Amino acid sequence: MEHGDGDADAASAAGNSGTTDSLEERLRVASLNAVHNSDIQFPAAFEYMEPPKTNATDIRPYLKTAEDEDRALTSHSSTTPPLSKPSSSQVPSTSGFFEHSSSDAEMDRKLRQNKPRLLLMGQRRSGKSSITSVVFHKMPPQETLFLESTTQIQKDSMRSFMDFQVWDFPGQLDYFDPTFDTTEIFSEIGALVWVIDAQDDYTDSLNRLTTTILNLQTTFPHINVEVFIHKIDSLNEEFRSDIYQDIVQRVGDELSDAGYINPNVSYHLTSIYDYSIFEAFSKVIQKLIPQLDTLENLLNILVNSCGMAKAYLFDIWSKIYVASDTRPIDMEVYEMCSDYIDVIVDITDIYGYNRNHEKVLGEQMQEAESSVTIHDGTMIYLKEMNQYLCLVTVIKNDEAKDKKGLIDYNCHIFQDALNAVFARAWEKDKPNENGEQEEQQPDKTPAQAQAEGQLEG
Amino acid sequence: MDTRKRKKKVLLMGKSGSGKSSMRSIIFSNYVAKDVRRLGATIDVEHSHAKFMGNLTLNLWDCGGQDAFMDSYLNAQRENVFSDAEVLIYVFDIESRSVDQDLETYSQVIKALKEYSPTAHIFCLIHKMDLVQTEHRERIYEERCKLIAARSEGLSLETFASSIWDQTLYKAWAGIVHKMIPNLVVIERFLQAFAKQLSAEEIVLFERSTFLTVTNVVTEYGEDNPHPDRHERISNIFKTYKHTVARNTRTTAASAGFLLFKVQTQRFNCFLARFTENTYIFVVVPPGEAAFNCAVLNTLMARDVFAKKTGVEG
Repeated sequence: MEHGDGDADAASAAGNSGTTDSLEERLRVASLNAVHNSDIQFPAAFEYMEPPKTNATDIRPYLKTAEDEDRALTSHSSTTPPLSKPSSSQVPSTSGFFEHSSSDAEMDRKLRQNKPRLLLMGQRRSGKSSITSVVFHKMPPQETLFLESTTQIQKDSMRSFMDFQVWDFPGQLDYFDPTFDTTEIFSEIGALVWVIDAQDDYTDSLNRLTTTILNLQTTFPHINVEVFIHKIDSLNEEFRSDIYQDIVQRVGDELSDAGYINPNVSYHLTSIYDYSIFEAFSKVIQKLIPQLDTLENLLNILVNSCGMAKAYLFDIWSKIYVASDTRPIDMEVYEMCSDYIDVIVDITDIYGYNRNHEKVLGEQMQEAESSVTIHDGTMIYLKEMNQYLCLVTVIKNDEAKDKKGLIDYNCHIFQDALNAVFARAWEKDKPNENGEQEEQQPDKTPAQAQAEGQLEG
Repeated sequence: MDTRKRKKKVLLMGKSGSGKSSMRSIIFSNYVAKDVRRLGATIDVEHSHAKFMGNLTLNLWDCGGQDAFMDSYLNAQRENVFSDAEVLIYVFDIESRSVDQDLETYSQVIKALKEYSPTAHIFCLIHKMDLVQTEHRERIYEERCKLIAARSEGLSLETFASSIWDQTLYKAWAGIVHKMIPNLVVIERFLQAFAKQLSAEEIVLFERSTFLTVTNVVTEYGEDNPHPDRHERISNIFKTYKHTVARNTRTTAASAGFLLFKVQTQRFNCFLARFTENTYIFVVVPPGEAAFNCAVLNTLMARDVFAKKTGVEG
């Protein structure tokens, strides 16, 4: 990958090669978390994040850096010709509002060691490349018309709060051809995204989908299969739900005929011309985050104590949301929050230049923060959490809006908790982390008590 | 001031299909760029009024550009159309294949204008620049400007390159509007003093419904900003977000708006607030939370004084 600390990554990778962190293992831990979350307060749940045990027989070591991956791929390329060398993907180096201090680098390094893979598959011309271009390369949707058809596997590395790879597969490849190393392709993936063109005849696509699921089911049963019913923009509401029903029904029937009950398959209606594709990708990514339950829990607490209507934790660069509170999602609010990030990114782009003068009028918080009150009194509040993530919340309660100081304070506590959650998952060998964690807990309680007290009053 | 003087007649002319009505819809009627495809051809003259800053009303004459109409403006309706005009905005289509003929019509229009309103300001927009490859834009624009200047009867004019797909449209129109605002000097002097009071880097005044830049002042702290096109970009950013807000609160873009918008970062703080009935004020100050909050409050308090001093009522 094109980031400067590649060497450091490689070094750390070599150092850590003993602790294998397979997806299976992480999912197991995640489900453990989920169980414990239900009755224990959130920071405590992380006591269960033990260093994963290695089960040497069936787990492959995680490839730690892009260099490792390239090496692994090139070593394979003699036997599996279609696995081409990865296309160089240019990812902007700074995804946050500004470059950050070196203290972030340490955490950054820890987050980096983990790289789930998303596979995009489907019939040719179903819209796979368009999806990656729009979501991960910020291409305007109308320009995707000019995309050439994909002939080689396109690999994109996303450098964000958690690294993940997106592999865009050419539609015409047959993955289960014996010359393909299916283990190589499927072993580390977090999710398989199957794209279906809803405007076309999708019988073939469904057949291939069920074959793929059945093939995978025996060897890699943990893979999430996400079916994107794509290009729904030109279909009317009724037709959409018909197609949705039809596809769910047919795939379900096929799989149960083959004896596979309760498959791990979810369906999303998507289009690159609106927010549905971001929404769907958010859902896909969320399933790969082991800390999701904790994050949701944290957001719920925040939302309740600050009188917010909704809170999202967004990845700044891709505008995918990592977590939100568990209230029902309102598409309208989501659009306003998502677009608001654009506003802030653009404004900081214009005024965030390096000034020649050092004029400062007083003290100020490190993190960028912004709010807008629109004509009907709704307030949208954004706060930068770290280099990659920002919190965007919607506040409709009139009383809550006046309590700006309180909201700031609570968001700050949330930020601490968030960074602790992300840091702890990887940092297991530092004993003093325990102490810090406990310090935060009492901090939080008065804030909430205060918040609740004030909101009631 | 009598009301007749306050209404400024603005002539919008150019060849058929050059994009006059599209521009007008985007700037004054809250259209988004992709919706202008639905607009039909303008028949004869469409009049519309745009209220600007309370005491400036633009009386827009959107003149359909088909040859038959052009003919009638230049002959039968000559006096009616060209008298009392304050501004002529002439739109050229960069993709036009009959440049000579366009210039010929232009030159006739200029002659008519010279005859009936010799003091009018002339603005030429070289439009649809997005259709030209980026690397050739500068050169083609310069060439076209020279041709136009040669046919302008020696009248002074300003040219802009524009496109409805980016912020150049705002730049062109902000330039036009800037020329027409009464007591601009007073407003600018006020803002200059105010900026000094707040130790601000920059203060920009935007018109409320169009988000066009009315005027701006930059102090010593803000003069090293590397983005000369920042005001147009801000117009564009806010207008786009206004559309998002309108769409999602089920109101029209005209009634959607912001009460207060704040950004605080390590390098700068800025806010946008309703100033007068028809303007937003956008202030950029150096970092410092307390000073920032004071600046916001001071701005809200300065509203009345501003209205009184500058005579911009409402």
